[in-house]
Amino acid sequence: MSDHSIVLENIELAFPRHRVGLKSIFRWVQRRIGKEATIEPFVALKDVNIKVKKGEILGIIGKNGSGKSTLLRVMSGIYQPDEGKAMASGPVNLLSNVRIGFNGNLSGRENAYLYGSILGHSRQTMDSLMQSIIEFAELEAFIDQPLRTYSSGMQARLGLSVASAVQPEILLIDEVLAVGDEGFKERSRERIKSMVQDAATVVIVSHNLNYLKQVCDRMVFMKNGKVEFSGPVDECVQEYRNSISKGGK
Amino acid sequence: MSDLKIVNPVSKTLTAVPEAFRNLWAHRGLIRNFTSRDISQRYRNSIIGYFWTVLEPLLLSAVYYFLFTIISGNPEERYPLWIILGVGPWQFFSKGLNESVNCLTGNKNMIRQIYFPREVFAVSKVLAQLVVTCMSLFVAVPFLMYLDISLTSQIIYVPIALLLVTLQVLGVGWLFAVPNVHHGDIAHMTRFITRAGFFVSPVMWTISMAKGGRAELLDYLFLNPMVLPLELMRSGFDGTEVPVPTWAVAWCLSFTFGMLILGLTVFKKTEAKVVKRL
Repeated sequence: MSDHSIVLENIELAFPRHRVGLKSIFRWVQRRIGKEATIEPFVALKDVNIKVKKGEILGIIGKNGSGKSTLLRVMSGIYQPDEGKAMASGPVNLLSNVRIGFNGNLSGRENAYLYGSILGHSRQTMDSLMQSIIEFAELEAFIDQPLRTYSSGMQARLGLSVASAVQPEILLIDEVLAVGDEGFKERSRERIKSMVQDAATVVIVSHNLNYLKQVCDRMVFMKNGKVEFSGPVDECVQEYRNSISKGGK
Repeated sequence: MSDLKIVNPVSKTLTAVPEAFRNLWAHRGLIRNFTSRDISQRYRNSIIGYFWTVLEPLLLSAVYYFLFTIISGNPEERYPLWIILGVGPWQFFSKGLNESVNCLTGNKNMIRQIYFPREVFAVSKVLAQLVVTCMSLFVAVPFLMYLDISLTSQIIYVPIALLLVTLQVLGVGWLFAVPNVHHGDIAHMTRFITRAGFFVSPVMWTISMAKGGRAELLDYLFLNPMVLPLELMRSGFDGTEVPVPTWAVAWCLSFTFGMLILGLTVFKKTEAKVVKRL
């Protein structure tokens, strides 16, 4: 037994910027005759080493485009890293967009079943959870109406309610805290808080520093695809604020 | 000492196919939900709904019949039945192929947000198409009654034919799904193949009708892997002998299963890296 839930070793991930096409043949010819014609790929993550202990709640902060979401996608297996290894001790659940697979023509109930099966829940699990999902989303009167008749807040409520219905072992959260009206926001914060507390291991990406301060054991500050700082919450937030106020790149 | 495992590792070449089938079995609930979503939203906004599954091949067959009668005079009595049995499976092939080739590009939003085995997409799309095709086959019933054809034990050819088309579409689709992310040309090419393939496949005509033509060219025709399934459909319903030589049957079977194994292996080996390009 290892005491880590997630281990990232020397992760490097680059997004190709160019498409292969006729132009790439020209570039190849240009390179052959000695001209510089390579388009550098965009390096989204470089030398990232992160270990998350079992039971730990890790917060990740950083500016837009600093690689936070990409990092979560590597952890959950959506992206394969170009270099290095991403390892986990069990199934990893990523909670990012809570409206995955939603279809306007299907009813709320059908969409809930569909989303549930996308998340890997069996039909029996969904059958037993459906009542509580509907109640939590406060959609009793609308659940058999087509989803296109829902407001965007209602759709988000349904999505979050499905996504948070089952308690996962390893949970990755990417900015899904703020959906719905004030009342629902409050309850979803509570729900996610309890998920966070019950889950064995949690990694949260958020811009809500106060929230992260409350729940996290440790924080990582990402900058330009690299881990700039990793350590205690207060120090990390301080680093982040310093970096912003300096306005440095 | 460690219970850490690589997250969703890329499959090894030899174990890719069994692994993919295990994944598909494990996600059968998801496949069923995707399939029923596809079917139920297909005719969602139309007045006659599911009736379109029957009406579309029927109308197409009527057009072909009209066209054919203009070109070559009086066709055989069973000709309308033959077209109907050709049009359904052919539409299955062409729509299924285009959809399975686009299985990654068409689902990029979902692929970028959550992980589950990506072979699920093509399978559920093709299954939805298969279900629609099976429903459309009921249009043959009145023709069978009118022509006074009683079904024989050869009806077993029909599910075999549909299975062959399913596997071909999946195999070729998986083979081209990843290149299709790199180059949009692939989708254009498949569209061309399905359009041109229509004429060199026995959809509007049958092999027995072609036998009057130049025999030496007929052998090349049997290289088309859709010939066997289409002829199986007809022989399956009307109980005649399958007009396909043994070597062509062997070729079609090896093409189908070879393509399935090759396509799935290539897909499993390359899909993980291509997600970044979606």
